[in-house]
Amino acid sequence: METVFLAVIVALIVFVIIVINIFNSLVTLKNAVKNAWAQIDTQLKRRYDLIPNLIECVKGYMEHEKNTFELVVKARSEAMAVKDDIKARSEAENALSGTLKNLFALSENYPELKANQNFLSLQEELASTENKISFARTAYNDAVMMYSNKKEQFPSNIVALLFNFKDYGYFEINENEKEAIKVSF
Amino acid sequence: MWFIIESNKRKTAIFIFIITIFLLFFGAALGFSFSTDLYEKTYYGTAIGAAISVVCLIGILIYINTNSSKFFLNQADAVRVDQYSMPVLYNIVEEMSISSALGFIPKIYLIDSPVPNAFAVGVNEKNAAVAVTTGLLSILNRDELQGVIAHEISHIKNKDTLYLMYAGIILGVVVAVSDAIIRGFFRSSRSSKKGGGPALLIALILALISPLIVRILYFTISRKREFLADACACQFTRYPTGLASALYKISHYEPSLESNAFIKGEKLSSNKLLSVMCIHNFLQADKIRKREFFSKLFATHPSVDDRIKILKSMGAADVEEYAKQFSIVVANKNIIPKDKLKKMNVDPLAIAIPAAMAMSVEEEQNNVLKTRKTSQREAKDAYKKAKNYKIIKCDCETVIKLPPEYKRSTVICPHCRQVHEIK
Repeated sequence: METVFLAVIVALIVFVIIVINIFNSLVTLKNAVKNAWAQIDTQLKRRYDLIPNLIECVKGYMEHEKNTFELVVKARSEAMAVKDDIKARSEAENALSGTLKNLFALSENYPELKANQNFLSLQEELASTENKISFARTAYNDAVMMYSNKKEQFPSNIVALLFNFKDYGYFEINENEKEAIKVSF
Repeated sequence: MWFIIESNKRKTAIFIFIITIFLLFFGAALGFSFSTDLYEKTYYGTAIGAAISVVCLIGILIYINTNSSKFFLNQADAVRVDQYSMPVLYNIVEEMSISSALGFIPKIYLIDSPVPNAFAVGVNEKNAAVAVTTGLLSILNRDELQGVIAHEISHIKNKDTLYLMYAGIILGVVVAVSDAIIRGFFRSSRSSKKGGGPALLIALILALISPLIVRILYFTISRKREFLADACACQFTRYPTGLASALYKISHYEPSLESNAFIKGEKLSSNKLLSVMCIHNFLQADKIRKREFFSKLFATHPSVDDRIKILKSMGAADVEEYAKQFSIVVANKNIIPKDKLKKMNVDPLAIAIPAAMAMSVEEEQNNVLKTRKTSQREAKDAYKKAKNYKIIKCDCETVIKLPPEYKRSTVICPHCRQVHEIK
């Protein structure tokens, strides 16, 4: 009788240790996702900060491109208005990326602008921020993938269900961006 | 990437364990050979020798963990630059820290040398740093520089830097200790004429061959880590062509006549400890290219031609693809065990780079020659600024840069002879 009792207690302790272990690894992965998201967020905010400077800088040179400016400003405020929904946010941010690309493509037509030191450094900053966003996005998606794998696999899926771990969505890349850019002459 | 770091940690631990036993034995043998024939004294001498070697080892480990980064950077005569003096370089380093999920941005150092090279030191936020030469900045474009920085950040991320520092310094100690044993052996055999018995003989043989073995071990692992860092760099940049073209340019660097004399005394290439850590080892490059057996055995870096070949033949940009091409180019070897490869998760968004998009290396070379002069001047200016040079703008648009050693109170413009006061 005593040995059975002892065996049950040992089994219980082992079970609890396993559950704690799984719970902790889930928390670690969830925090990795949150941290990766914070990285993206920092870079997106930096882009919001840089855009007014850019507009201010190019305004004098590109008077005929008012439409393009307005599109950039509009896309910026739309992206800033989106709060927690990752899907909507990634769509808005991708739209902003598109308008910025357009602006830089048009700036090629203005040789005086291309000689402006301030513009060149802003261009480098924005291009680098775009890079950082895309690198942070891959890091975020990697983290989400590892978290979802753990969350869906047995036996950690039971623990995840028990403690109500929530889902995180991927930061999607724009469908148009995926296709190679076609150059026509 | 996690399993690479795990296996690196394990290998470093094994390496340190082996070295500790080595040193313990050396210390014991040294103590043994120096003590006299009395049984008790020999016993104590052996124990004291072993104890001293362990204390030395602990001292070395503490030193490495506290300020070895500074030691290496000082050796290379590197100065720290920030985001304001080198914005592009800083951006690239930040990009790669994000992409590698390093969690912090390593410090950036600049070395004033025309020879293109780069190295990394440290493992954590406090001591990690990436150092590049002004020559490197002047011959590479942004994508290539990104490849090089990604390679260096992989070294930090995979903790290769820690391993190289441990191994490098311990290798030096093993060489010194075995030297001492050989000398101690001859001294004791001369004075006592009896010889130390079989134990001493074994110690002597070990002392003769161990530096050799440690060196081969050290360089084999160091070569493997260069490949691994290349593989990780591809994963981080998603653009293997950048690193390939950077390696091509670095390895085909030909010094101009006036800088040739300077290179012979150049710090990164001539300093043995530093040259192991650099992205390309100029000292050994020619020997490795000839593929002589012994020079390959003692090479710190793999053949740069092999490295470029692997990078150029990659169809996708991740570690798995690198491992595949690696096994084709460097036959019969696997850089990552096959069972571990399956565990790697490949990012669904990784975009394969079409071969046609990659510009040929020669074409690139021509493009860069045009911009070479300006970017070198930029890099040199940043170096001078970091070194506290005084900058005076003359009315004739000449910019005069004065080193901090310049002590006079006035300077004459070399173009218009105007006299400037120095504040």
